[in-house]
Amino acid sequence: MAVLNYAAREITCKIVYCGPGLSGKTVNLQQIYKMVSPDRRGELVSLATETERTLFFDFLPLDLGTVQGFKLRFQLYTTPGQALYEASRKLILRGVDGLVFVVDSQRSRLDEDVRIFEALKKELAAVGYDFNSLPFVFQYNKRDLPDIVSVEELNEKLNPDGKYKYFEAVAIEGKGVMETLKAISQEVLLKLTRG
Amino acid sequence: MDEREQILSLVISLEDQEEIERYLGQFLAESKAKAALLIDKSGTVIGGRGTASQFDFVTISALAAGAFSATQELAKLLGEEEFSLIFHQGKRNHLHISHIERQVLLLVIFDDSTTLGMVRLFAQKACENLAKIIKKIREKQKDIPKAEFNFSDIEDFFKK
Ligand SMILES: Nc1nc2c(ncn2[C@@H]2O[C@H](COP(=O)(O)OP(=O)(O)O)[C@@H](O)[C@H]2O)c(=O)[nH]1
Ligand SMILES: [Mg+2]
Repeated sequence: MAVLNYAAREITCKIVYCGPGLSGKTVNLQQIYKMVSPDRRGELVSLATETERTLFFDFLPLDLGTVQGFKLRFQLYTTPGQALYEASRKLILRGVDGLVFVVDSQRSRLDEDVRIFEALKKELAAVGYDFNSLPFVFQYNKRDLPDIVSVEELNEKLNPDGKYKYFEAVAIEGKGVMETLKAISQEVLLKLTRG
Repeated sequence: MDEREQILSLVISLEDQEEIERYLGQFLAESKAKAALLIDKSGTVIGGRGTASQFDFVTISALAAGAFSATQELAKLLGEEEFSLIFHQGKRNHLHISHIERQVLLLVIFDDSTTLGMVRLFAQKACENLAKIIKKIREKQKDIPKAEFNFSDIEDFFKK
């Protein structure tokens, strides 16, 4: 839920990185934190378990600059992928303005990618969102690993109509991370303009 | 609670903001709390007042909204409709969260210069006033002029 504050001249948008567990969501935020200059970002907060899987969420506030005289602020969140954490995923999806789905490109993870993507659409519907009207992009991550699914096959399974933008990434090296963020920012601004 | 309401954006005018800040200021004066924040349940700050500038309001809001939602899930599991207020006690600073209405929370940070009882008492009154403003903001939502938000304005952000 974007908050437009005419007094403070600020727009605040919530961007959620979702996807299966260990696909690289937290790493995306860590890389953004590293790449963005300190005056344009706040602290990265991670609520993680000992096994490094996100139990609850990561959070990173960004200050993207000024549009139409408004300071544009993005708040990036990650959601836990595991089915176990459905309740906490739902609460993070509350008020979402844009979604990035981080896909784990490894062949062994393909079924899980598809399953979590389908589950996400259902969860969004459950909290009253129409997935089709939400700004959305894919990130096909871990392109550096050996046994990965081709981009064509990922599109076939996840993005058959080619409706959504997708970006190949090696998040641990920062590759594709800013491109993904840029794309979702564009989508969100378009949506803000069109309503 | 109609979850669908959450899709609507909140648009806060200068006038609304002044009113919100006034009530928050009044609340601080009465309760002797250090800071008061009006936040949306998705974790965004709507308004804030206070001397506690050493705190990072943006992050506190995100985490508190998460904690609040998690607590509501707990309430449901216990067969309660909700836990209408939440209190975290620290050694020096304490956090109090009240549910103003379906979408909005009031966060209060206070220390031992006041008491939980005082905070609770005045928070209740502040919540009633703030709920009215939020209602008013909602009713006005439809008259918001559309603007063009051009991506080129923020393109610099993405240059590495
Ligand atoms: N090889 C490789 N490993 C990655 C990449 N991105 C993330 N990882 C690793 O995948 C694991 C899970 O990443 P994390 O961001 O914690 O996953 P999350 O559960 O989606 O938050 C970590 O060990 C990362 O180092 C990548 O692009 N390539
Ligand atoms: Mg994680």
